[in-house]
Amino acid sequence: MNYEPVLLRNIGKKLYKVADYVKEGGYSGLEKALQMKPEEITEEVKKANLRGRGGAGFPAGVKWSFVPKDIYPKYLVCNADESEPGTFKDRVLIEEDPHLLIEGCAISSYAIGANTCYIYIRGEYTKQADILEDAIADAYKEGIIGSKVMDSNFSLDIVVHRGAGAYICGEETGLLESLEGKRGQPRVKPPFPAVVGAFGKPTVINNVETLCCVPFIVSRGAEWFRSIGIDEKNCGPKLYAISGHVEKPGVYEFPMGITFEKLLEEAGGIWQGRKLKAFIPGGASAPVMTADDIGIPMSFDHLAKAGSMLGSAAVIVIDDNTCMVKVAKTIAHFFNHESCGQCTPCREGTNWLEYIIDKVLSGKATEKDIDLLTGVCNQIEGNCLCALGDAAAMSVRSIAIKFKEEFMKYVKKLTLVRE
Amino acid sequence: MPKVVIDGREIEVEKGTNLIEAAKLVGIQIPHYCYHPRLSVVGQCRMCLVEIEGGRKPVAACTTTVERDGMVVFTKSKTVQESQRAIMEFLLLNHPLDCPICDQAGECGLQDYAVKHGVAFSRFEYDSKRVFPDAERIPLGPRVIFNANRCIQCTRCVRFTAEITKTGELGFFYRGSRAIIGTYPGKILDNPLSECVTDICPVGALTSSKFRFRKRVWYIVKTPSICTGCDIGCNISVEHSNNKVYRYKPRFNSKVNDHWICDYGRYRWEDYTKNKRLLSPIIREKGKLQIRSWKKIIKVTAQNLKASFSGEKIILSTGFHSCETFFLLKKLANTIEGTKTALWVKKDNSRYIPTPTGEKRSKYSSPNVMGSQIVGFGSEESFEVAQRVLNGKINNIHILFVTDSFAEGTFNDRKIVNNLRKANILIVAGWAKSLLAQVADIILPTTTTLEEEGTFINNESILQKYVKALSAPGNAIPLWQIIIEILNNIKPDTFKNYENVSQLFEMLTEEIEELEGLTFKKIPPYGIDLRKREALV
Repeated sequence: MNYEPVLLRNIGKKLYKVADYVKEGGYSGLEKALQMKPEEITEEVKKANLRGRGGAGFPAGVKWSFVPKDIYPKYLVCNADESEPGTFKDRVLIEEDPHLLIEGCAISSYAIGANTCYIYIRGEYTKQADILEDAIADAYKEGIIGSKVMDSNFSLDIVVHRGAGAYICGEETGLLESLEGKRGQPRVKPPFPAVVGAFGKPTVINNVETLCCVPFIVSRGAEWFRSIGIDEKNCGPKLYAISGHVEKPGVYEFPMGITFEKLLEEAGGIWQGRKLKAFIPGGASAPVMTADDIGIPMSFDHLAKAGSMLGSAAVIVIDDNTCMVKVAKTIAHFFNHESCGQCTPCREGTNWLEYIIDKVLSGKATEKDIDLLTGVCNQIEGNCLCALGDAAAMSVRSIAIKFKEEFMKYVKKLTLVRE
Repeated sequence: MPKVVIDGREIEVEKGTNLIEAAKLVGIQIPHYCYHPRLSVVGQCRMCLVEIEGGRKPVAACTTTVERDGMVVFTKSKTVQESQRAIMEFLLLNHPLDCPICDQAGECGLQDYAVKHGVAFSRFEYDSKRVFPDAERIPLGPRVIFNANRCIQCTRCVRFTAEITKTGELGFFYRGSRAIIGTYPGKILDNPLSECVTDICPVGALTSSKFRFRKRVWYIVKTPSICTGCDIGCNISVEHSNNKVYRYKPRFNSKVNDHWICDYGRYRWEDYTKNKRLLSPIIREKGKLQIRSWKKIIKVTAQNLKASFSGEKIILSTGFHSCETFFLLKKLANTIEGTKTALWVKKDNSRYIPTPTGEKRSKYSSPNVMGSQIVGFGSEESFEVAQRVLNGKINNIHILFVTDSFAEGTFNDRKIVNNLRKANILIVAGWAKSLLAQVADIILPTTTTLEEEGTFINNESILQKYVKALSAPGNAIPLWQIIIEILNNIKPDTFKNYENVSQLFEMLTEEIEELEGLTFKKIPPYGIDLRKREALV
């Protein structure tokens, strides 16, 4: 496919120093942004229809405009806690182009009026945190950030905060609790973080990739951003992290809304000449899609319409030799392990889901248990405090419904699908 | 104020009221576990899910506030009932269902809601429930025992220590179905209000180490009363059975103790059981103690009191009596010429109760010092006289009438008892068989606060009444009755028509300005603020 990468254009160039990054045209977006009024930037981002790349797809510009004008200080928090199974796109951005993220953070902080930006990075990303911290140190030294951002009157501190390995700290309010030094568990919303966020102050929380799009929107304009992608609402360059049974797993950049078929082709197709059985388009939280859905455009709205979600565009490809019950087990185990234990349906429900699937796998289950599995999913969904329980319920239920015959094979003790 | 419609009933509520409180106003109970009006709202038990017209999915009533007109709420719709059933099923999944051996049975939130909102069967049919084998009987502190298997992770106790006592001993550890509450390393749950966590725990996870396994709660009779631990005047419920007290529980009063009582007050009933009681009127005749009838004893007491001698005549009281008793004691002092009144009190500001309107602090260790002053018995002067009597500074006492035999154990102090014994004639009325009672010439057995009725006035001038919970042992009778008999004996028929506290209180309202116009029966459950003259709600 003939597509000039935008976000990934600096991959492999080792631009860890400000000077090197500037040589490649870096920090021109920030320079331009500092000439603009903050509201103009927000307006431009709004016009660009930049939707949150972290999973929910909420328009970033709209989120920024929720921040009350007259309360100080405000905070920008960059969510780099990328812990959705299958997601590894932010890692590439931080590892290969840390200054792009710093530039995005600086512009966004300027736009919302924040003088402190926290980058909450996943605890396992030790190498990436080191790279980021070195880049930030260099940016301070070169006067890119600090008390005078590029010789303007705007001051900005960027702080890297390392997580301790909990999935729930990727949920924005869970992240804030953890950032504040408390037990990482989601808060009740409303109030939303834009009004009451970190340390009780207005806070905008954006994903790494979202923030990395901002410099390009500023320098190239909203029109350009909207022109990339399948339609006006689903636009811009998008990173797809492809893993699973493909020949060339990795992070790929394409215009938003590339079809799954095309994406699969770019990733070298299913490995070992096997056939596609299913794919998960947006990480473990997203309901599974079957081989019949191969032509679907990978965008927020198209996938939502098809009953799944783009999420963080972590595409997990599953070939025809895979047992879907075991896929369900893996997913259920993950959510059971990562449930924070705060709210009842998620705490007890995710545990129960794993129990039932274990029972199916042990061959002791009856058809009633498989109905119970979907029943429990229905009981979890919609009753939880945050989205984790819903995610567990939706993805497990989608497998239990779409691949019921595989569950039934265990019940009827027929030849099992190969390991 | 915005209007909200709950199950078809419209009500105007203050902006920001949550749906649980709004529903209470129209008499609808929304089931809940983690929500408590004095703790921060976390919305995590999900039991209070309700449906809002136009909403996509059920919302937690505790976290949803009424902000503007037009909210239509359903608390009993099909969706809501399904959600409630789902949550009940989840809560009971890993719960041991050991009600027959659980001490909370009978007052358990899980039992109540399982019957009301759950189903009679479980679909959980697996061999292993999640169990914490090592955490079935953990003492979190000296007074609280924790059973992790019964815990439903509502975190009320955690928030209580973080927000009410601000001592922060408790935390929420681990994740998911392995989440468990406990004390932080190096800390134990030992703060002055620690046992309140057993009151707010909706299940059998936190139980009182002193109460557990002493009595099944369905045998318990509850009588409203007032704590005698200090002069905050906390409202308590005396929980007893077969004339034996098993525990005190706090009784909500927004203007006094809110939802709480302190651990010290909670065990004041133990004073009555740990000390031997005086059971019969006794007189010392020729050096020997003799049991006599009340009629005889009263006659002798009255004779002694009214006889004229050269020495001092002193009535020594303590702050533990009711207003009615103090009133009569004052009458007695006035009747017998030359009698001094003395009131033993102890300054004590160590007791406190945190409330939303600020901290309530004690001033004295006895409950009715304010009352004694208002009816005219106690005064700074009488406090001083008491101190001098106790220290043996008054030498020529002819008659010393001590109306209490315990006073927090003061009258078990040998030195003090010796000082008091210097009086020629020592008359002791009281319930405890203390050292003092044993050396008295005349012993008049009285009831405890639990065995009589009366009124206390707390240090914020709130008049509250307490009623009789237990019947008195032996021949003990209320002190006010003894005083009336003595008065009748000295001046025949002065107080002929006073047979109960209600009638006595009438006399108080006639003579004491602060109490004018009140009647004993009509003292409201939350008391009356005498400074503002308004009933508390």
